[in-house]
Amino acid sequence: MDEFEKENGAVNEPEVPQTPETAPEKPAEPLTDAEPAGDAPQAEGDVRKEMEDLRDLFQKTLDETAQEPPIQPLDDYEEETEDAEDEEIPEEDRCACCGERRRNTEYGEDYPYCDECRGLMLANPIRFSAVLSVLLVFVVAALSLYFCTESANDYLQLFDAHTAYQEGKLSDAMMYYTKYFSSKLSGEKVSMTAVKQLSELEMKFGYPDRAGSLIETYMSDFEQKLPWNQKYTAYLSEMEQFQTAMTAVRELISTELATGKLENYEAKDKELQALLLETDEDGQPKYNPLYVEYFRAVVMELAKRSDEELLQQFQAIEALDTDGTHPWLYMTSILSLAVRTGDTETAKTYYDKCIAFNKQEMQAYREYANLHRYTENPDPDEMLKIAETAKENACVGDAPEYEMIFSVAYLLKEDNQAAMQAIETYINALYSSQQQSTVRPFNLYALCAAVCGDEAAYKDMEQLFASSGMAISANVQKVKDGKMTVKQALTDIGGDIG
Amino acid sequence: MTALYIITRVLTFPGALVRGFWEHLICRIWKIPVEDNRILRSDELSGHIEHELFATAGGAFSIAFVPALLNGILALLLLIGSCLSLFFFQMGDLKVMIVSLIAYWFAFSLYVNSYPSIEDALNMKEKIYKQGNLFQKILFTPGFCGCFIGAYLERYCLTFLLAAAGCAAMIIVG
Repeated sequence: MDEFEKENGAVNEPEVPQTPETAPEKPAEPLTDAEPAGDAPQAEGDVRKEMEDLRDLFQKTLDETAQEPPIQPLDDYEEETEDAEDEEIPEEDRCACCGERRRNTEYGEDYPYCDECRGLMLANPIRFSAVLSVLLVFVVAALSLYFCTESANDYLQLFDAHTAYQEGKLSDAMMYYTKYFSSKLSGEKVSMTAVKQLSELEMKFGYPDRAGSLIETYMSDFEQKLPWNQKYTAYLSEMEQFQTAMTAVRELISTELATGKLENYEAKDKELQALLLETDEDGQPKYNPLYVEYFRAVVMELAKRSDEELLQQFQAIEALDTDGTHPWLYMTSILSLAVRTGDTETAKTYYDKCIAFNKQEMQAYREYANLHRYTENPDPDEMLKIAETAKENACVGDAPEYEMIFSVAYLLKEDNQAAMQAIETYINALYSSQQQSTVRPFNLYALCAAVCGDEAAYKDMEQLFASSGMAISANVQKVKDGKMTVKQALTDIGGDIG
Repeated sequence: MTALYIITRVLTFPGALVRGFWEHLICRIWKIPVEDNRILRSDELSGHIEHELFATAGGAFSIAFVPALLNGILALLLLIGSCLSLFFFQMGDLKVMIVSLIAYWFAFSLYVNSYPSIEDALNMKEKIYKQGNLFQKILFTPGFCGCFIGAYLERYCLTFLLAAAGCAAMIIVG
C-alpha cells in the first residue's frame, strides 16, 4: 500500500489540473501493475471511479476555457486605446517630439511640445563629459597659477630685467639677470630666456668668455642644436676665439701688460700682425682679426701712441665688425678719442650710437660732457643738460657718477657750494658702495674744498692721497695757491680733475 | 565650411564642452527645455547644445554672453600662467612645461569656443532690439556687439585662425 501511494501521489491532488502536455502518457498502467493488497478489488474500483470523476472535471474545465475569448496582450491593448485617441488629435496639434500627444499651446500658439516631452527636456541631464571638462579646466588653471605663484619671486626679478632690457637700460638688465642667477642653487632649473638675454648682454658688454660659459652651463646639447638657438651657440665659438687670441697676445706682451709700459712698440706690433697671417689645419685664419686688431690698439695705448693714430686703429676695428656685434671693442674708445682730438662731429655721432646701444653708458655721458668742457669757451649749461639725462638713466645701485658732471658744471658757473654738494654726494656713495674709482673725483673734491675754503676737507684729501703714495693734482694745488683759475684747471685736458 | 567647422570643434573639444556646459546650466537656470544635450556632433550646432529659443531679452543675452564671459575669464587665467612659463621666461622645469602646454591648449580652445551660435545671436538681436526696453538696449549693446560679431567669426572658423595667429605672435615676441 505504501508503494502504491508513493507511486500515485498525484492522484490525491486534484486541484492542479494537468494540461495534455504535462499529463502522463499512460496514466492507467501503474494501477494495473500495482501489487494487489488484501481488499484489492474494492480499492481498485474506488480509484477507478475517482479517476473517471477527475477526467470529467478536467474535460469540463478545458471546454469552458476554450469557449472564453483569448487573452489580449497588454501592448496591443494600449495601441488600440491610443489609436482611438489619435483619431481625435489633428496632425498639426501633435507634439513635435513624441508625435502622439497634443502640444501645449499655453506656452505660445506655435509651441511644438506636449507637457510630458517638455518636462523630459527640462530634466535633460548635463553631459558627464561637459562636467568633467569644466572640472579639468579648473584643475589645470589652478595648477598653472600655483606654479606661477611658486616662481613669483623669479618672475618679479626677471620682469625687472626684461623691462630694463626692453627700455635699453642694459646695465640695469645685466644687474638684475646676474642677481637672478646668483640666487639660484647649482642644478636648479633656470629661465632659458634669462640665459639667452644675459649671454647676449655679456657679449655686448665685452665678456664673450662669460657669455659662452653661460650657454655651456645652462643649455643642453639638444637645445644647442635647435635652429633658433644658433645665435647663442655661436657664443661658444666666440668664447673660444677670444680665449685663443687672448692667450696668444698674452704670450707676446705679458711683461708689458703687467708693467703698463711698452718700449719696443714696432717689434711687438709686427709680432701681433703676424698673428693675422697664421692659419689652422683647415687653412682658416687661426685668430679672429677683430680681436687681434683690438689687442694691437691696446698695445698702441701702452706705447702711448698719438690719439689720432689710436682713433684710426679703432675705426679700422669698427670697419671689420661688419655685423655690428662687437661694439664694446671700439664704440666708447672712438667717442673718447674724438673728444680728446676735438673732433666734435665724430664725438656727437658716437655719443648717439653709445646711448642708442645702452642708455646707461655713463662713460658716454662723461665724455660727451667733456666735449663741452675742454674748449676755450666751456658750456656749463650744456653739461648740466647732459648730467640731467645721465641722472634720469642712471643704473640702479651704482654710485651717482653723473654728480661729477654736475660738480664741474657748477664750478664753471662759479656756484661753488652746489659743486661741493654734488661731488660730496658722489664721494660718499663711493665710500659706502666700496666701488673702485680713479683719482679724478677725489681731485675734484679737493678742488671744491679749496675754492670753498674748506681746509679740513682739503687736508683729508691730502692725507688720503698720501696714504696711497700719491699727491693731489698739481692744478688743484695751483688753484689753492692762487696761481691758476678754476676754469683753467678744469679745461686742462691733462689735469686729472673730475 | 561645415566640415572645417566640425574639425576645429574636435581639435578644441575641451573649450566646446565647457561652453556646452555653461549653455546647459543657463538653460536650467532659466527653465528652458534642452532638446538635445549632445555638444560634439556632426552638424553646424557642434560646440553648442540644442535648446528652445529664449523668449526674453535677458535670457537671450545670458545664453549668448555669459558663456562667452566665463570662457574668456578662464582662458585668461590659463593664459597668464602658461604664457609666462612657455614664452616669456621659458622655465626649464618639465612638470611646469607640461602643465603650461596643457593650460595653453585649454586657453586656446576656450577662446575658440567662446562665442554663441548664430541662432542664439540672431535671437538675442531680435529680443533686445525688438522686445527689449531702452535700459536693456543700452546695457546689452556692448556685449551684443562682441557676441554677434564673434558668432559669425566662430561659424567661419575665424576665431580659430585668430587664436592661431595670437599663438604665433606670442612665440615670436616671447
